[in-house]
Amino acid sequence: MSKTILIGSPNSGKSLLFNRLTGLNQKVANFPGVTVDINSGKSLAHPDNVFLDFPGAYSLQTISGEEKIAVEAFYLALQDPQTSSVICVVDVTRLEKGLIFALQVINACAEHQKPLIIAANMIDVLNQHSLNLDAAGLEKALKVPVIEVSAKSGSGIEQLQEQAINHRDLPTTYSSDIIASDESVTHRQAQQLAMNFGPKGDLLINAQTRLDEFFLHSWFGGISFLVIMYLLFQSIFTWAAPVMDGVESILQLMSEFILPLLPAGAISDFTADALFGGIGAFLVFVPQIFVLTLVVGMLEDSGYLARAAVICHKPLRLFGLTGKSFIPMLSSVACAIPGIYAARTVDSPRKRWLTYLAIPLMPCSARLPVYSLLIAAFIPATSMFGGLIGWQGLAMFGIYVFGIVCGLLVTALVSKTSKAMQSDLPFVLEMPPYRLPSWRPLFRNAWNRSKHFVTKAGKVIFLVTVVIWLLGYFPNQGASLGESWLGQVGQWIEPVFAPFGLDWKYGVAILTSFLAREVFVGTLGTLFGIEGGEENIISLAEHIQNSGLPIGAGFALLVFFSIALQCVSTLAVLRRETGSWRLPTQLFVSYSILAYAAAWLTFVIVEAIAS
Amino acid sequence: MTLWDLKQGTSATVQSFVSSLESSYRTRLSELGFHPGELISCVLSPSLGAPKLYRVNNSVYSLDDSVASLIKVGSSVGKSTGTSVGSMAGSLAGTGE
Repeated sequence: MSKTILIGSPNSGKSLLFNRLTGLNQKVANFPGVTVDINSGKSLAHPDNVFLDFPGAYSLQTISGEEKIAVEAFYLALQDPQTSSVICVVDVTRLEKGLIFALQVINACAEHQKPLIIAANMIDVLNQHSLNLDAAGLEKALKVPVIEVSAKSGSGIEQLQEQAINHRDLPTTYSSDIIASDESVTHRQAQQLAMNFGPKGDLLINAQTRLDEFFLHSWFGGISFLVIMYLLFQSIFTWAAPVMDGVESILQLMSEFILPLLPAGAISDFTADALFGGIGAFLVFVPQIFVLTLVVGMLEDSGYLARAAVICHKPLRLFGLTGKSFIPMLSSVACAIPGIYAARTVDSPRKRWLTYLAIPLMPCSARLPVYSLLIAAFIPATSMFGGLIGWQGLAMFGIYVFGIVCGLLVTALVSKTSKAMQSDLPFVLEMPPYRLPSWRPLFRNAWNRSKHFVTKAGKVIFLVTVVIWLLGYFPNQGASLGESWLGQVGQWIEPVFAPFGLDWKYGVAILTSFLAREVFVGTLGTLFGIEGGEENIISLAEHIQNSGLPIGAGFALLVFFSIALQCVSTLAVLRRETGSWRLPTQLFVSYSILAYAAAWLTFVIVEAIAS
Repeated sequence: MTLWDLKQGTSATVQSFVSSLESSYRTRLSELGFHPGELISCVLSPSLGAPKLYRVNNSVYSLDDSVASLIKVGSSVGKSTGTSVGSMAGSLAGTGE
């Protein structure tokens, strides 16, 4: 088994190339620093060769802890006898910058006697604009194979696969002309090489600047940012709604077909209440997860996210954060876990720590089923302008903004009062080129995320649903939910949630949701299923409306769920990233107390207004 | 004059770094192209103190005042042409020049 290292500058298209070479589905985006771990995958063409995808690095001379770990791992991999070759990925549209890093890699490979190949990526962009790279000239100058590839279109991939195999373990002789120990010499060499062999003219950079003039304009930039963010949240409802209706209809048809075939009794009740009522209620929301991941992916892939980080930098600085915090915060809108990993791109340790505080308050997709359910129960589904503006979408936008504002207020407060890790790193962010999104990886990523949501959260939901159903159904075979084992436990905990107008069923659903937020929907679906006893499944939102839940309690639930840290996985990943349980414990306790207090206050205020 | 003082559409050559800038960041800025002798263009200068966009060869970076004000530049050379200028074009043997 041989290994090939894949290394390159951030945003050089390395992860997409890795996916092409291995057939794997690593997350790809158009902003610097997506790869945060070393991924490995067998070569599609030669399964005896494994590709190792290293995090992108600007330099082998590190300035942050994360870079140090990645670069040390690279040097360690170079010492590994199984490492047979190295591929350095260079973005040909920004050749000089890529070559500065490539020259450092050549130096390291020469030192460890490892053969190197340069993958000149994004050749499709040059071709589109009738620009050229003199690959043969560059190869001659560097004395290293230079293969023109397009990770996006797939051109040149086969040649790169062959070269990685044919070139492995070859005796390597590097030109002494390009081995420089001084970084200013390396810089001049890269500049000269780019000038001699790189594309001529400013076509690409001028097009990028024209778009930047609009998207970063003092007024138009801010307005377009707000419009894009608003459309993101509207799309969750308007694009996903037909598919959600479809899923609901399929579940309805299935229940109508299956339930009459089952003998009356516990099996039939279990299928109706726990399977269709509990798990079915959760499955309805999967299309929203898909749409959300797709739209966030489109923004990432287009290059817009880096501009959004620039727009947000000044406002975020007021709250102790940096523009770079925007990317992990927006990733957290899909899921807090990739958001926590993405926070590694925040190079300042203090700002990264503050970003960790904000991430659990970002409105993640696990909150989406809860929000959607409560909004569907309390907000009318009227819309204007062909679904562009709807009350439910506006309410969703409002609750998302609420979560974000809470996160910012927390970081502002902590930033003002804590002096921890005061030394800071300056804000320098590379602006990636604007690109049309690569649809296939985007859809694949959205599909994988939805699948992960169903399989991972689904297992927890299934287990909780079964336990809740058993406790709610026995000992009286579903005759009276209030007198079941669960009813007895629920009435014991009811006083905890009574201050914000919730009965014991909601209390039990909240308690189970501390495993994962979306469990709330499944638990509630099961409980209403047992209580209703009907074989026709009506939507959970209708059950909530019929239960006479006060509007203040609905709003209190929304507020509670937007603050409380009900996610075991988030706590575990935070522990892994920070190296101790201190921060996760602090966040869990403080956000639980804050959520409870804010929910109670919301209930009091809304009920006072409503009456 | 510092890089932060550069007006949109103008260019200037990097002269040095403010002495308070840590050496590791100095190295990183140099690697990104903010290298003494390099011509930098300010391509976008939004109002309200937002980070500005600077072009170095074929790359564009956004820098805020906390870092751009640590890079000393010479006097600006008027309207940027948008063309990269290799100011320290060293010779390189065997490059096929």
